[in-house]
Amino acid sequence: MTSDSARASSAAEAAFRIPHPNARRRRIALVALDAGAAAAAERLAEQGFPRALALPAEASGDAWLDALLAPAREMPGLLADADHLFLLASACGEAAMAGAVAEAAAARGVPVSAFLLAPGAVQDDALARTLSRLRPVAKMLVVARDDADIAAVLTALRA
Amino acid sequence: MLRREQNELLTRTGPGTAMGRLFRAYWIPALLAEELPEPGCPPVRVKLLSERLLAIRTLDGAYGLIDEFCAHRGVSLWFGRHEEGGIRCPYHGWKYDVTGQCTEVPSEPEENGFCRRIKLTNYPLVKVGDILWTYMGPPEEQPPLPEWEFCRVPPEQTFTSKRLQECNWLQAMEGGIDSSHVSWLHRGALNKDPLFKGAKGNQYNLNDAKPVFEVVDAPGGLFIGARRNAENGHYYWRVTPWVMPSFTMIAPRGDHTVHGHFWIPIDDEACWAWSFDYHATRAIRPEERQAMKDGHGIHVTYVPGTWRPAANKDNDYLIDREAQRRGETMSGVAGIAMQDASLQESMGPIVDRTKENLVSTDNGIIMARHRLLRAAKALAETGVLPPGRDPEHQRIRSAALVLPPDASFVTAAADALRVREGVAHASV
Repeated sequence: MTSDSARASSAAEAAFRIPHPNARRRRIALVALDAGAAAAAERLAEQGFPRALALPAEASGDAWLDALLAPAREMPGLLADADHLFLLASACGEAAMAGAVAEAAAARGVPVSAFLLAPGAVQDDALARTLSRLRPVAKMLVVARDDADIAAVLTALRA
Repeated sequence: MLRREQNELLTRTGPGTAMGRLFRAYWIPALLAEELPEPGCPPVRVKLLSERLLAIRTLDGAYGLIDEFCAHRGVSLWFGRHEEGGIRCPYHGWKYDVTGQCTEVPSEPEENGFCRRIKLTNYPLVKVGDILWTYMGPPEEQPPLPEWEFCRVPPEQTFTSKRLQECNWLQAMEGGIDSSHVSWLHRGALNKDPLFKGAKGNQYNLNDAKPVFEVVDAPGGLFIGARRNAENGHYYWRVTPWVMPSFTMIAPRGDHTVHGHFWIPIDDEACWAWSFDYHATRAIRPEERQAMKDGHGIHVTYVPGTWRPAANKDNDYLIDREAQRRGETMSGVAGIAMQDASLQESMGPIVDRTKENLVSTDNGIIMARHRLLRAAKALAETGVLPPGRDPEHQRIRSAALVLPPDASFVTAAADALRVREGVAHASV
């Protein structure tokens, strides 16, 4: 063999690949945009995935504001530490805070992706409403049929 | 990233492996029909899923796929001679029919029935379209014959080729569902290749090099949608179906023929890349068919007398550094198929997925692996047969279309994503 190793793609040559790790673990932040998403996030946290910040999906008047204030105060810390942000939304959820969260992430240069939880059949208009909130902000979207789909993606991305 | 044991499970397809059992649940392409062109033609050695087999066509025209080696002393039956009712080993004259049943052992008295106790492994071999398909699983679980549209349209509307790819099947297949590489590796081909150029959709591709991906469950696997900005706030969608275990169909461009692939393991370190082109409503034009034979689009030219691409790892894929410098190709390798194959083979025979660093645009790959792992485990542990066997799962299409911004592409393009006889692909 010459000094040019480009042709060294045999099984034997593969053994000489450098075994040193080439990346550190990725910090992935999760934000749940409704109650169904928060429940899924809670189950994932029990499996060892990062605990999600849960935002209120909808409420009226001061109740909504109060519910929002506590998690809103956590947002800067969450994003300051994150390499990537995943939004979690139920297929029929409002995903009302998707834009605001994505804006905060964009201000810190954190890329945003989304999981849309759709375990069964979903009505078109409800799905359209959620999609219209998520699509402008998420650079990738997985329609997940169960928690295992989400776990597979997070694991593959080294969460 | 995959754990080492997950990578092992997904990439090993020999007898007794979980992924091998999964592949053996489907009809898979074994060889081109043209390789056994007539009754009594020379047999063909075929290795599939790490099993060495022999494809034969008897004097009366029947197809068979049997263990390559004579049960007597292990001679390759490729040297065998066709005779009425089967093929005869030239060493000591043992004769077999298309089912692998030994029908004659000349050295033994006919009346003792010795030959009836000898039977080689055999699998069905059936011609559908341009392809001879085989099913290597338990006979009682054999699914209906393949219903892929490309092999059900009239012969003048379809073209199929195959090429040897010298790496594991999974890293080859993952290229087929990784739409994000097109804007880089193949950027020079969209406006030049005769089987791609001229479509309006190409401009959407070239104007927006950062598509957004959506991955959605499908009955047989996944739909992977890549969206780019179009006019009036709408999105241009390119939707790629992936059907288990290894079928993909590329979204169409204009009125060009539609392309797609199967990746079928030869063994754990090589696979067949099957490539088809078809049009649902018209014949392939002579100049299109010639372009396919000349290695354009997703096809290749060959080392004469083989299915090995003329550009291969032993000649550094005929890399042209000047073309790379001029920006005509990204990698210096010519042709879409070999641009893919060269990089996939460079990963090594079986890529070490414990070291990869996937990003969000890789989610089609992530979800496909997840579906394969889940299906392989379900089949191995509880006998649940996997998706993709049902003919309805196979009567699907890719699509390229412009949709409103809030539309689910699976719902809005539901008609476009299924086979409709007499209707062309939805294309831009």
